[in-house]
Amino acid sequence: MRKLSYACIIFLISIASTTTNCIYAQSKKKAEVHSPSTQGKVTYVGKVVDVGNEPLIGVSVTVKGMPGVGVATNNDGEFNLQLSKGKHILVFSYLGMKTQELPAKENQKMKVCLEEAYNEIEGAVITGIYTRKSESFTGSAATYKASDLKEIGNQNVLQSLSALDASFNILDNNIGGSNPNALMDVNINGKTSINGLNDTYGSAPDQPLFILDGFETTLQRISDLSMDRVESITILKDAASTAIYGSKAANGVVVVETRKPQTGKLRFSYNGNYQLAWADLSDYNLMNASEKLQFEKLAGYYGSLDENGEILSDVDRAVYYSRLKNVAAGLNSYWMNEPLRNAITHDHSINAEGGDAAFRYGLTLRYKNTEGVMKGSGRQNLDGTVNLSYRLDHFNFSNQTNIYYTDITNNVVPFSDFVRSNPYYAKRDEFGDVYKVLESYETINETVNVYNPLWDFNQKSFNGSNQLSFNNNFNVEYYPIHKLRIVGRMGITVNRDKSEAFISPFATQFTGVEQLKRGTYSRSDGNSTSLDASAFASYGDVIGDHTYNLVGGAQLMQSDSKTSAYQAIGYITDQFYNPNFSNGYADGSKPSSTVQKTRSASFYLNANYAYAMRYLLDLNVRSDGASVFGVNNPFSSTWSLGLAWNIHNETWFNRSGFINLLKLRYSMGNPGMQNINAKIANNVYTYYTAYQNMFGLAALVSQWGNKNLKWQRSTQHNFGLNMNLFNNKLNITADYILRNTDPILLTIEQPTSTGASSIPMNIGATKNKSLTIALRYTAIQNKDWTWLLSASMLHTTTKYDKIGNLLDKLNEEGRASQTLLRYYDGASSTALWAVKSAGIDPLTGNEVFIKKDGTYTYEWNSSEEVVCGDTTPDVDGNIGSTLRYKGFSFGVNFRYRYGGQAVLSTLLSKVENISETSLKYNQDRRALHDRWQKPGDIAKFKRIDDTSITNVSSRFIEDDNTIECKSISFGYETATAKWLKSFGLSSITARIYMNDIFRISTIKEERGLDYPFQRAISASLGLRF
Amino acid sequence: MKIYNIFRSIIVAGLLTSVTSSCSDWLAVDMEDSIMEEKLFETNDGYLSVLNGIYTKMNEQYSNNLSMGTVDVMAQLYNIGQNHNSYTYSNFNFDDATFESMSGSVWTGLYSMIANVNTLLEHCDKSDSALKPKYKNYVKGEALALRAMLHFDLLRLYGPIYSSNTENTLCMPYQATTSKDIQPLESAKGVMAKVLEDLNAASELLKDDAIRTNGVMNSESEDPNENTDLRYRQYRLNYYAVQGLLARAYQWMGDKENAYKIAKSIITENTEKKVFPWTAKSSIQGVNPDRIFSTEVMFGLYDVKRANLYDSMFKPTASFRNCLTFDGKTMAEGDMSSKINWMYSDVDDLRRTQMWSLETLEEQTEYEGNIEHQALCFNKYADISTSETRRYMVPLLRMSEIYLIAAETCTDLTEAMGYVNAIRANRNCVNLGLNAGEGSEKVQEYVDLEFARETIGEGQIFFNYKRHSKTSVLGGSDYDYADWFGADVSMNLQNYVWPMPKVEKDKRTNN
Repeated sequence: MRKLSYACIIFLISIASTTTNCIYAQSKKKAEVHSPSTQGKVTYVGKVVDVGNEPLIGVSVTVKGMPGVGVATNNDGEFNLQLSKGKHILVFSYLGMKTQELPAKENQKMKVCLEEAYNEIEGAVITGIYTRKSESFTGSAATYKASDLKEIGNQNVLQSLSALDASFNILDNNIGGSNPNALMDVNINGKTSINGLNDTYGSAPDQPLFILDGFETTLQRISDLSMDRVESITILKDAASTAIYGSKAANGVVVVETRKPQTGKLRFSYNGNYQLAWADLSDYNLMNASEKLQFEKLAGYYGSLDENGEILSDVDRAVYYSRLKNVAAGLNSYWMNEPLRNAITHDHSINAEGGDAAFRYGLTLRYKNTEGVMKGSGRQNLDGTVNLSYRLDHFNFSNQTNIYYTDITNNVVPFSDFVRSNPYYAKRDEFGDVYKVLESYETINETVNVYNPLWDFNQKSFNGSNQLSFNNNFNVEYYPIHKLRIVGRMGITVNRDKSEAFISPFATQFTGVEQLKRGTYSRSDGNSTSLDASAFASYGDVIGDHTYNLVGGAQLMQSDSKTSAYQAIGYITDQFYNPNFSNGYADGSKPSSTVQKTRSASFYLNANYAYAMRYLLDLNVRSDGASVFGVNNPFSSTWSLGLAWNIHNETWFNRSGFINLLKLRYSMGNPGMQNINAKIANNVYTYYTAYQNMFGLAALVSQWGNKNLKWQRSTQHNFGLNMNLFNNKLNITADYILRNTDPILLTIEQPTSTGASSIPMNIGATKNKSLTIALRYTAIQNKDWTWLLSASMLHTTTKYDKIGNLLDKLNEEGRASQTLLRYYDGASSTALWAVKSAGIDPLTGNEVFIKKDGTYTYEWNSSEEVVCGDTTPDVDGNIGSTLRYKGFSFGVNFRYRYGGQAVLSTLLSKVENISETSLKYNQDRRALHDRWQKPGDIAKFKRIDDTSITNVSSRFIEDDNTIECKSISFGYETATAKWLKSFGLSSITARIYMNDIFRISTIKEERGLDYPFQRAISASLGLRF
Repeated sequence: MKIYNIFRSIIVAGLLTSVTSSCSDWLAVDMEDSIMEEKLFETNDGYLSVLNGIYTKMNEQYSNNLSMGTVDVMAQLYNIGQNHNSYTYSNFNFDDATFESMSGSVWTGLYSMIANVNTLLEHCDKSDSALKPKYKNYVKGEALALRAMLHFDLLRLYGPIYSSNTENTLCMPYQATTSKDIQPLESAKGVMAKVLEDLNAASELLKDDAIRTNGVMNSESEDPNENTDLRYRQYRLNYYAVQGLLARAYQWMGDKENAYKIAKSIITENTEKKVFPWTAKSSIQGVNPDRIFSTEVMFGLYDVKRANLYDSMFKPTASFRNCLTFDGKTMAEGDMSSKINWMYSDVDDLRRTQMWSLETLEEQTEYEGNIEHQALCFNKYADISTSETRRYMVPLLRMSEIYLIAAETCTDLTEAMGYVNAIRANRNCVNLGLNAGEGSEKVQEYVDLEFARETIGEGQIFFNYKRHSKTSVLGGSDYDYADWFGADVSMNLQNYVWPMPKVEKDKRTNN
């Protein structure tokens, strides 16, 4: 209750302050406008229009330096202003338009044309709730325009963003590769969660909050968003800039604004994006047929050899020679190409827009078909958007309706199945039919079949889903007086999704399964509705040296989602997957359903004050109440404080010197995390229906909670610097951010005598430090030529704190299962722990380890493990260059990482540690060529015939220094060329790209295990009619 | 204008204040697919549904593993060959993954029920508890009894063979609170002390149990206003069941005096009130035979899926590798190559004639096609078509066990044989007498034989062997040779103590 009243007070203060200001300002204005003076007057007349030449009604025309003097334009957009003689500057301001200042002209009818205001991105910070001049802002934020993003690539705004801003990381997905349907793992300035324990609460714990046109949205939605609809993207990085989003903002906020329709006559435009992609297999290094056979023999797959190197066992020898016969006859199957293709992606959008100052409209229709480089995988997007806005007196109404449909298909057989297939097997028989079983042989216990991945690949199995969403956002702005803005927003999103997966009864996984249970069909259907309503008021004014802004508001959100799923089994044929043709539910299974309903209510206040634009202060308070916080205490408050000093505005500062701009910033705050489910604080019961009886309902705890939990919080400090040097040619932005997350919330496994196998607990803390530096240098800037160079870097570390020995069990399990992550106080969360290795003993082919005391041993002992590396690099970032000549532009962009290490899991699993069962799969060539074979060999890898388990040592950790070319692009645009007219065009933009075209790394490691990475060339075309 | 503005701001502010004050209510969202603890315990029905939840959940562990399945297999009752799916259990392969997973599920399952009991008890004891006074003693008493019974069964599995030498062995924690902190391991003696404490408390709360005046009430009430919550007392830990468990617990600890005292008082009260009357021979033999002697059951589970268990474990058409049978190709009297003659000496014993039949089983093999086997199949749990609740009953405690406890703990041998013969008379068996020179050992022999005949399929025989530290027990297989070597197989004493499962052992940081 106290929290609630606190929230109310905040809100009332905000309302009170804005309303009193409003009243004060209005009465002042009215009083002064009506103070006439008629001596020595000159009458200035003119007309104000918009870019479409439509008259603007109600434009405020004031005189600079004469507060309170002014008129408004009449119904024809005309004004008539009497002033004393002399030079005057007239100020034309109108809601939503750029304010213009023009010298008043006597004896002449002035014609004034006002432009739309929202294009004003340069030098502004857009938080999604308010827009502020970056000069008066104390937080750490970066804004990128659509054109910046499109210079990098034309497929995905987030990919482009990560190539522009070093803080915005997209983690390499080594399993999912370039799968167009794999959701990205993104974070801002590094991870703060406990590494390796992320899956506990389902959602990604480091994911930032995404805001689209003022409404909260999902990562997937942004990822699917058409490049051509984006106006700008702002990344809010520190507490001062994110605090307005309160308890969801601890991981930073990404604010996306889409293009709004422009006034004018009805105009059409077309934007097209095209891509050709192919798989990047340069990291694969597989054996060919004869190498594999030779390796098998040396590795003891066929048992012991006699002194002549002949296989002793008759049976094994027969198998070997039958294979050798095929190989000698030239059989050398290349498997990796089978599931791959050159993937063509095309994306078209048509846009129509127009209107006048009062009413504007925009329509967009878009279709995108993305093919994955794996056959059978792809993604289609179809969406339509209608933007309408209407301006009436002091009101501005706008509405955006968006309908989008996404259709996803996934490949059924993972790429790794092809990678591991042996080259000495034939894929097809002489008639071109695919073999189901490549080879079948007897062992003591059973018959072993080696299956052809192509068999499953060619069956009618599928895995796909589709989603239809409808989204309507309504926005009303009210300007009762010039400086006060009151905004109401209402958004509704409805989603319907369906996913289906069918596994053919002929699939190899059903071999040996009884006939009536072969083949499965699973389906799940979801629907969700979310509502988002908010209202806020902002007021800002400049009085002498004092500039202040106040924003206060409230937000209510509700979301309902339902998912139901079932699985049917037993198909005779794969011609029909409809569940009508199935045999029934799987044994003991039943349809399932989950229902989730959440609500939240928030109140916030932001106050910004600047003295002479020198000393800046930002204050944010926000109180969030959410049903997810549990029943007892639904409210949690967050706050932030920001300070900045614009040194360049000091009177003693010489702005024309070596330093042109210098700003120091500091902010602190405690944003929270709301990614965490509320149920974990409470015991949750479900009705148990398995054994019904005459006593009626039976309830049991389905999930044990912990009532003593504290919510995960982070304390953040940000030290920032902005500096312009050499006539503003060099622009430096640096931020040092400390983020302490304390306490952390984790699910810890328990002995089951406690009644629960795991319960959520508050454990320890993480300390994250990051330093980002971004440089922009304008090497050339003149009428025709522009050359921009940019470089950025991120250095980040995350360390554990206050964990104690609570996670020792996990450390032990890690040692047992050969993972390299450990949890110790003071240790980096991404440190790699292993026993130090001195390499392979040339005499015996066995590995020699170095103990902590420096002595050598053949014995591997996990207690001797030390930190042998860290997967987080010392620095990573981007380097880019853009060269423009007239309408031509040429851009190059690199991403680099330096000073990090990586575990070479390919070496660990495909060069060594090839167990007897995995010997039957194809392996890395280094397993044959680089392993120790005879005394005296100086080898990197242990004895070739040693199939015992290789324990992880520092041998498998290497420096991972990489530079990859994210993009090379070449573009041309013109709106003035004469030939345009003959095609009926008003402008044309064309660009070609090469994305991920090369990658240089110090390690050789298989990437993209279940789905390969891709390289691509693409092109985009923009036409305006 | 000015007044209008002020007026407007007041309205806006007032509106928003009212919005914020109702915010907390708005934020309280109920789940549709589950219920928060606090919400559930807001009503009397919530308490009853949690109690019912625990009883029904017991089916998962008791119907299968702890009654007719695993523990009986471990008592070497059935013919289990090397390729039988239960071989891991009959051969005590404690290191085997199958055993580990079964044991882990028993341990986890029972402790999870205990945690549910503790949460229920915590709410019962709250001053503002929504539990109605009429139900309070029942719910709390039964919950305490459940906690005792579940712990006691865990101790019988994982604890040592109880004796003054072993009673201090640390073996398992006793969970008596809702705390999720890791509790220290208790000694067997400590566990038993708490079991007795809970049972005594339960007994005190249940002393006015309606079963003592109205009987088991195994039907809907004739009074349309009465609900079923306090009826069907055989399926609840009623007063007598709690007393029975107390007798069982004292007997486990070797406290003959108390065991006898309690057993005797149950028998006396039951003889007078006929709460658990002997099942009539006519209903044992009639249509839909009452092979489980349901009227004598003091506590049993209600398992609507009982027929499924029978189908997969005992039915002649069950998979050969799953089917639990007696070794033997004949039901003929005196043929010692059939286990049935070792188990039942009276040819007219109703337990022999009604529970067993000679059947032909088919084994599916990969290379040799279907092979036929003759075996004796166990019909105790064969499905019957009756509307009576006994169709779904899984007995866990029965009157005859109380008689046998009395017989074993009684100092007067004649009285002891009286108890044994009371059971035998109702099973159509001849009266037994002691010959000259036969003493309490002979009585014990008769008691053990009768115990096995009575409780086969109920998971008690293994514990009876364990209690007596039997190093040789009646075997399950190889009755072809039984004449020459006798039918006993030797039993390693370590087999009686299940090792603590990995789900517990590996996660305990301090042990």
